[in-house]
Amino acid sequence: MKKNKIISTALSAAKAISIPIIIWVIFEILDRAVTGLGVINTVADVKTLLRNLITSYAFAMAINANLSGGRMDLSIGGQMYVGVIFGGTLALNLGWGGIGILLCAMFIGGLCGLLIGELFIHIRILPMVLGLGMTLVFECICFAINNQQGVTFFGKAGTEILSSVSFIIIVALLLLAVTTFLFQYSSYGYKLRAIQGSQKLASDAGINIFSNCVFCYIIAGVLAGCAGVFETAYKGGLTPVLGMGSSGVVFTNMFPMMLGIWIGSFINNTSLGILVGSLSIRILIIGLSRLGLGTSTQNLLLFSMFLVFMIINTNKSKIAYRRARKKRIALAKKTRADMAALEEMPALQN
Amino acid sequence: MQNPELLKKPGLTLADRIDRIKSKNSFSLLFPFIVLVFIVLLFGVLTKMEFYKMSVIISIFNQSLIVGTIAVGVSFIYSTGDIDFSVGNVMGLAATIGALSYQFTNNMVVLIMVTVAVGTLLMLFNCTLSLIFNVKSAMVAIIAMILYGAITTELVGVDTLKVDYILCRALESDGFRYVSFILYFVIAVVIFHYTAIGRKLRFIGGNEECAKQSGISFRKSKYIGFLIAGIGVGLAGVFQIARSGSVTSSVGSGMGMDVMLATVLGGMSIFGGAKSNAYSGFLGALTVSALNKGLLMVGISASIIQGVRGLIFLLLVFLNSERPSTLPSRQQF
Repeated sequence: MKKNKIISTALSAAKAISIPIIIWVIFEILDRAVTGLGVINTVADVKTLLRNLITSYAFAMAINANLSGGRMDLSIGGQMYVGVIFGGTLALNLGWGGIGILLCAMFIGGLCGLLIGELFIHIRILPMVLGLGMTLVFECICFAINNQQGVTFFGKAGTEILSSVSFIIIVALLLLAVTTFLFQYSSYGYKLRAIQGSQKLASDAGINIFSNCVFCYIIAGVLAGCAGVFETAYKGGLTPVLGMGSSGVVFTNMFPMMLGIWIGSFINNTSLGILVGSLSIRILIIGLSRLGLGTSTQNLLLFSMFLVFMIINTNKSKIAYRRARKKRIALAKKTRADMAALEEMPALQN
Repeated sequence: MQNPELLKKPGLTLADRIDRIKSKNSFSLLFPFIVLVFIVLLFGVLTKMEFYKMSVIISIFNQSLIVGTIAVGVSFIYSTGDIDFSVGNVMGLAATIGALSYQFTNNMVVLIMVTVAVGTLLMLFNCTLSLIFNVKSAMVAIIAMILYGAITTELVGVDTLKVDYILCRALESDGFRYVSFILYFVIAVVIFHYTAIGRKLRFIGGNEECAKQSGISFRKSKYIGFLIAGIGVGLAGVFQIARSGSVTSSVGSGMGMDVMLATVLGGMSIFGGAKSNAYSGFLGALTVSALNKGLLMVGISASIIQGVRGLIFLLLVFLNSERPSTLPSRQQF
């Protein structure tokens, strides 16, 4: 029994890790055939992959923190901007270096999450609507801070650590460990799953749905701040935007999140699944860019694949039903043919 | 001796009175109008009547025309409980293909027909993905938004697609925009509020299962809703071409959010139902436009205007919505 469980766990893990490997193999073949270069060719490519991976992973986790509860928070991008610009500026002025910037941005992001969470539980308007309104406010705040200049990490002392591969891996593993514990093994995680089942029943059972909701928003804000720091370190700086431009970051990270949730269903660990999903999408994006395709063509291909994935994922029970039905019909036909053959045999003998 | 507390007549507290007013149907219908009138009066006073100049009123109307047209159409989608914020990118792609068709044919009628047709077809495609392939409408919206934006960028490239200046002047100044908008608005309001299709759409938004069990053709109703929305989006594409005389790769980008903002500000719930209405989107667009104009005239900077708009938006939505006992949520993905 225990042996079977170990084998099935190993198989599930193999299934999960095979997805980024398959994507890598496909694009390795394609890229070498078209351009002569592989997906990953130099150490710089590995660094780029990891830097984008941590950003994508943290954002996808931030979206998932609320989305699984039926709350689409469009203000995560705005929280990221406030966290990075305000927290980053503060840490740079105090000379706290890269780790200080990260911690400050996560703290400010968490405060933004707390604000939205508190607003949500008190005014109780639809989360998407609240997210829209708060995006406008956060973007306005970012413009006001630092005389509309945003924040620049390029050339600033102490920020080199944010580009360090070992630091990125440590942060990614820490995020994985903390989010796995929080969502899978802590009482917060159990209560969250109970609320996802039925808010009313969970509330009647004594779970405080309001504090749980606020905690979800805080976690989302912290993760958004973390993602924003690495993204800003990669790009060199972050300038504020207006007109809800910050909400775009939510949409571009939906594919890693949805793929990650699907992968996480094999291994019963959404956090790890989202990490593997983010890795898969980053390899896919690098593979597409190696083919020499423009950004819009890459987006076209990427989101077409996303659409196909969503169609298959949404209809998998129908697909499984149709396959089973085909098998049953084939079996029925075969049985009928066998029975007809058996009936003919005595007639022939006679 | 009698207890003086028992002698007091039971009365309603202020909070109770406010809740009673908010629960009335007429409140949710009238509140957005009251807000718009209040904003117009307020800025009239603050700008010492400069706000009431004809040029300012026309400018407010023109600025709200594109978003308002899309919002009128999109109300047919929101009323069923679906969400579609890819409408901006649909409008952009429709305008792009319309402009390209004009460059090939030099014919204004072809431009208008192609733009409206493409807008309608794209919205029907969104509907098909949602209805036939069972992908949640909000997810379809996200994917469609980026796909259509990418296609527009591929078609336009780094250049700008220019349309004949004389054509644009003709579309702008000969009343085409106003006549076609008013016609579309009236038809949309009549269909939504006075025909069976409107009632069916609101029924579906209120309780989908109940609507199905009552014999309402779910798919047919939704397709009709998306068709009407598509016509509005296509029409907005024509207005966009007329307004700017050109099409760039970023046309319509982000407008889906503005439409959602305008619709909610106009008093409509994005989760649809019986309280939906077709005019709230245009009303909300007028409110946003008046607010922007008024704040600019008062001397507030553009970046602060956005923050003020966000706060006012949240306040108005809070005042116009009922506070549920549990937290609002809906699986849209």
